[in-house]
Amino acid sequence: MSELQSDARVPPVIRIRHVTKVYTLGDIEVHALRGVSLEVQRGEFVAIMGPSGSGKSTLMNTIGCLDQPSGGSYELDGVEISGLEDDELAAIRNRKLGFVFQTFNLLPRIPAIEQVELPLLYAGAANRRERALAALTSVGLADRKGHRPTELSGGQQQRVAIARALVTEPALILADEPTGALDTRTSEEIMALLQNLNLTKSMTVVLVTHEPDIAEHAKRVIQLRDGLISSDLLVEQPRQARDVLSGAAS
Amino acid sequence: MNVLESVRIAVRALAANKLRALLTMLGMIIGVSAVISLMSVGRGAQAAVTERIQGLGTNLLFVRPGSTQQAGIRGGQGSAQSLSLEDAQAIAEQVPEVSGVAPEISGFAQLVANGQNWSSRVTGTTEDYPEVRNFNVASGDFFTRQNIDGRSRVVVLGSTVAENLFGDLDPVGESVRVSLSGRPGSTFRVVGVMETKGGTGFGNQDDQVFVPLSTYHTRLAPARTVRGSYQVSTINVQVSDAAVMQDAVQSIGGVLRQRHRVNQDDFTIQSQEDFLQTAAQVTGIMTVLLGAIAGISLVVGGIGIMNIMLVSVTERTREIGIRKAVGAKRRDILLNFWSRPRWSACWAD
Repeated sequence: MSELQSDARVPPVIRIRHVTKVYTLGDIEVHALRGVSLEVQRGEFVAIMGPSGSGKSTLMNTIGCLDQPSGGSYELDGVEISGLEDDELAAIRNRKLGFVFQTFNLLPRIPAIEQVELPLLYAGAANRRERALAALTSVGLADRKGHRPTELSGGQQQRVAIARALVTEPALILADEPTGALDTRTSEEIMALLQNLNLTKSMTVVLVTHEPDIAEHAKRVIQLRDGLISSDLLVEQPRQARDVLSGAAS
Repeated sequence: MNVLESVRIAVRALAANKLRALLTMLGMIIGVSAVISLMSVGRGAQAAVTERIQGLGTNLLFVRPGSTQQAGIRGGQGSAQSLSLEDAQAIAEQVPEVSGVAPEISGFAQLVANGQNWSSRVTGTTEDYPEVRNFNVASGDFFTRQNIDGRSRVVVLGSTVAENLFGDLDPVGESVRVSLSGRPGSTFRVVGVMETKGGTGFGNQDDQVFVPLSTYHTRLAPARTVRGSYQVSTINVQVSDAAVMQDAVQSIGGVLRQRHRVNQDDFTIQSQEDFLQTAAQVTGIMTVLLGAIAGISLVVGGIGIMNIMLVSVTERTREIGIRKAVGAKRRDILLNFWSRPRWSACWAD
């Protein structure tokens, strides 16, 4: 699978073995995942691609602990997920995962700083305001902390969402089409932000996209087809969003 | 996430939806205030009725004759002519719990005075009547022991009678001709006018005149019992203390049974408590009725809140999804949705 050297002492962030997922729609059984095995090490930047119906949303939901697999095992950061209760899953999502969605999914009418604070609130953490402000600063929005989602541009909203994802210092940031609702330039800015987090903080990022342009930013690209992994390749020279941006500026 | 945080979120959500919060609260406000106000109206009615009955005098017992039976034909309650003036005197002397006794007998009469005439009830009684029945004269005086002993032709007018016969004039010292139906009348001197008391549910007490009991028997209607003594229709008995009411009833019953030498009681003793209980039952039913109406409006208000909450859950499934994605547990979400209507309800109250 992965050709990165795996350190035996540090468990992989994601270890999926023969995961299957079957949905029952009326009388019909839909096999969304037919036995996927996958390992992602700390500090990786993985893009998952595939046409619609390939099972990438299902895989995403499984990795994100939003859904339980029908079969197989899934360890997130050394913790076995399958068989956990709803509330235990919620705690795992809170501590180990940060989500970035296509439609930003910020809460309406709440200022940016409190959006970012929300996961800390549910975690019962201390120094919430300071940590939230630090996260907002790291996405370059410290001066927008009092703004509500309606007062922010799409790119800014997505950066607030990224700040919310990274504020708990999760093991994994899971981005589901994070640039799907943004224009090209803003998309590059978001990708630059994610790459920077991956580079400077060794944050593990899993990105789901169907845009090859976006997938090129990842260090590793996984293709899904009909519920199975059809290819798993390392990218020699990931596209650097920062260079793209400075090139576009000049 | 603790309760405080949840409350904070709830307050902010309320502030964001001011109109909805207001309407929600309005449902609660109307419901609760309806319950409170209708219950207090019920209580008020109960208090008013109790007060009226208390106005008859305190710790009263009413001794009335029983029914008659002649050749198998039974008369109604009070139709027997069994109570006598001597019975009243015996009760006053032999029953220690009794603090005052006022026997009375009444009939209907035509009153003529000052060029006016008026049909009213004439009540013959004793000088203790005002104290026992808590019914006092407004001007002039009630008649005295001397008037009774002397069988004087003096009369005390009820306020309605005084108004109808004399209008604005002061009737004290004037003459009134009193004639019971079918009997020759005689002329009475007015010595006093009673205060206005209003109806008590037992007829209008202001529409009657009072004459000495002895005068009634000798000059108006010589009603006698089967044993030949002067008959009375009711003996009003005042008992010294509410705690000894039951003892007084026993003792009076004993005295009368002994005097009448009967196996079956030819009298009944009603206490004010009986009236009070009946009245309390009636007003109690009223209160329950009003409470039920108010309760329904409260339930309607509650359903209104439920409805709004349902809508707000439905329209916020997305928000719930987001909160769960960042790690909210079931409890957090519930707390969140719980504390909001709680706040509305608290403020409404």
